[in-house]
Amino acid sequence: MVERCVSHVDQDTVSATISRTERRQYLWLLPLWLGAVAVGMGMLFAYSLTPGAAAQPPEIWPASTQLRLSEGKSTIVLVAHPRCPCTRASISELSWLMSRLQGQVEGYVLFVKPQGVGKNWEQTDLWRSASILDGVQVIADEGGVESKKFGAYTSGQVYLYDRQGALMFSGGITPTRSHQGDNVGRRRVVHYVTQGSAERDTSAVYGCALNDEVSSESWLLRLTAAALAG
Amino acid sequence: MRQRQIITKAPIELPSRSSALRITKLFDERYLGMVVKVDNLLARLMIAQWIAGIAIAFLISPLAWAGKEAVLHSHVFAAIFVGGAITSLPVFLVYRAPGSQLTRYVLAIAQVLWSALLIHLSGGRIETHFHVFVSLSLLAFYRDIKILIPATLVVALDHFARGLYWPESVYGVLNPEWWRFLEHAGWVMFLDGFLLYQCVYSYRELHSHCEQQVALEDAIDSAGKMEKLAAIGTLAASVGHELRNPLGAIRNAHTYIERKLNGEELAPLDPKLVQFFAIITRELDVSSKIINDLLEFSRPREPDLAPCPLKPLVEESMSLVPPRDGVTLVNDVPESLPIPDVDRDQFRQVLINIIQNASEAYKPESTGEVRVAAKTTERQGWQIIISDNGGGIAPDIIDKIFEPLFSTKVKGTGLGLALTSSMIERHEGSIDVDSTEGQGCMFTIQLPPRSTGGAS
Repeated sequence: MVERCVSHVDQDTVSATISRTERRQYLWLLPLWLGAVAVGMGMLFAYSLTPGAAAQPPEIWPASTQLRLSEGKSTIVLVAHPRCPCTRASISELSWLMSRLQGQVEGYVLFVKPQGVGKNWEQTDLWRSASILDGVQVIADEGGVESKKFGAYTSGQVYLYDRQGALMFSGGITPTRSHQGDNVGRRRVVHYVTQGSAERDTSAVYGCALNDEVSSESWLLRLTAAALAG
Repeated sequence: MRQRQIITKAPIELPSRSSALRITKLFDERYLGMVVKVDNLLARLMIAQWIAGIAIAFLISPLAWAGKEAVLHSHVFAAIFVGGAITSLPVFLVYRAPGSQLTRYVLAIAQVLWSALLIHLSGGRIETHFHVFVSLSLLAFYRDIKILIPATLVVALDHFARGLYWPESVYGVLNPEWWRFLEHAGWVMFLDGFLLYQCVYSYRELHSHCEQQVALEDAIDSAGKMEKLAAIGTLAASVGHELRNPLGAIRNAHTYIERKLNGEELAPLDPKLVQFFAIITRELDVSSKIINDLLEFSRPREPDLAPCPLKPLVEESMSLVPPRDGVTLVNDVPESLPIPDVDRDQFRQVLINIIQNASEAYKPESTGEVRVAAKTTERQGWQIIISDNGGGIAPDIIDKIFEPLFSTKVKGTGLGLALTSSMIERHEGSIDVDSTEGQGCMFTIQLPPRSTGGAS
């Protein structure tokens, strides 16, 4: 027996239900909601697009550094904070560069290890990612001694020196904080290595600060972060 | 509670008015049910995406560092608060106004906003861009092409803004060709095209299912009714035929005795004789009417249509309805009403049945008014309205009043309104009853446009 689909046509009909739910009593919430989301997204984008402190690099390969200038090739140096999530994109972009410029450039990744941290503090996934790159040497920079010689302040800072040790490029190689993809820094490095010149020799750096000056953050965030960081 | 019952005779090719109403109602019911299900699905997805967003933020970028100092990464805050903001309104609306259009639109916008946030939280991974296409496909569950519009617009707006200020985040390159946004839009439109087809197809399919179900129910109803009518018809013919002859003999005898005793002074002999003789006369008339109804029901006669002025017919019908104290019959039919083609005898019977029912619906010693009005339009034909301000019809029986053998009267046969409905259907018309219990009811007879003869 087929169940009767419509029993009565009374006020409790489906149409009446629809009309009740169609009431636009919550419409006023829509602009508030869109506004709140727009503000949140705007703040997030602003954060992503805000670069870190620019480096003050030596124009000539520093004589005091323990790093060796490559012979007959350009030398690329990436200074990184081993725990900075934004630097994951920089390592990824370095991988792209090393592949693109294979045979024309050698490099270092300097992982800054602040004083007072535990053993193997720098042995993170970023370290492991950088270690497997062809033509790249990974170095733990105890106390940030080497990075200071290159004038680096922000994780993700890249330097390109030519075979004579002259600085050709200093800057970041990611489009924004944490984001991979085509960007001016990467393009300029490629241009310098392949063509010997580029429109500019700098770009913005996106990443964590390499030193401890984070006084603007609240104690609560630090406490939570300390718990997360173990 | 206001109740409505509609009986319609309509062309075979099209669904009747009542069937069309039922199809619409069934479709609304099923569509709303489906929309509410999708609302709930997407609300759960919103919450799942929120949890996933927070998990992704904690997994990929839990902390921002400065030397050996760490603070929570902004992506964690974004996942919690921006993700929470995106999730809040759609989930609230699904809880408070499930099935509403606003809820659907907000869910659609929220879903593509989640695409943007997840892409950001994942570091712009190209794989996360697939979320946009999955979202659009999910929104097609609504079978409503309009829902795809706001979602597509949000995607387009996002592409446009990013293309202007941050092209590499959406195109993967710094200086995309000017037509690059067209390529992206083209892929979205490509998907939208298929989703649009799917929406329209599924929407029509749902409607078609409803039409089929109503048609099946009508067929089952019709078969049941036919079976019942056939059985009643056979019984009515048999009973009517068998009773007509004895009743004829009784009436002859009654007439003979009445003539013989005509002029005699019966009252002095026995005062009760006059009273009993009147009872016999009245009950013979009632019996004749029942037999005539049974025979008419068993062998319905096709109407012999002829122009028949309505006002005099209503007047005549009212004169034949047994009067009731306190109940006034009002003939409001305009003199100038165009003349319809009806079977005079059948239509008079229709009017008598309805007016008498209305008159008898008043409780004893109550007062009221039964009013007959009529109007006509060139396109819709004639409309005859018989209204009263009596007790109305109870909601639980209004569906049954046109069924044969259904009656609430102690002495009723339950054939009056069944015959009425049947006669009107044979006139290719319809009858509609609208009743508010305790306030009266209104029967509306609709006759199709046919004759537009002179004024009555």
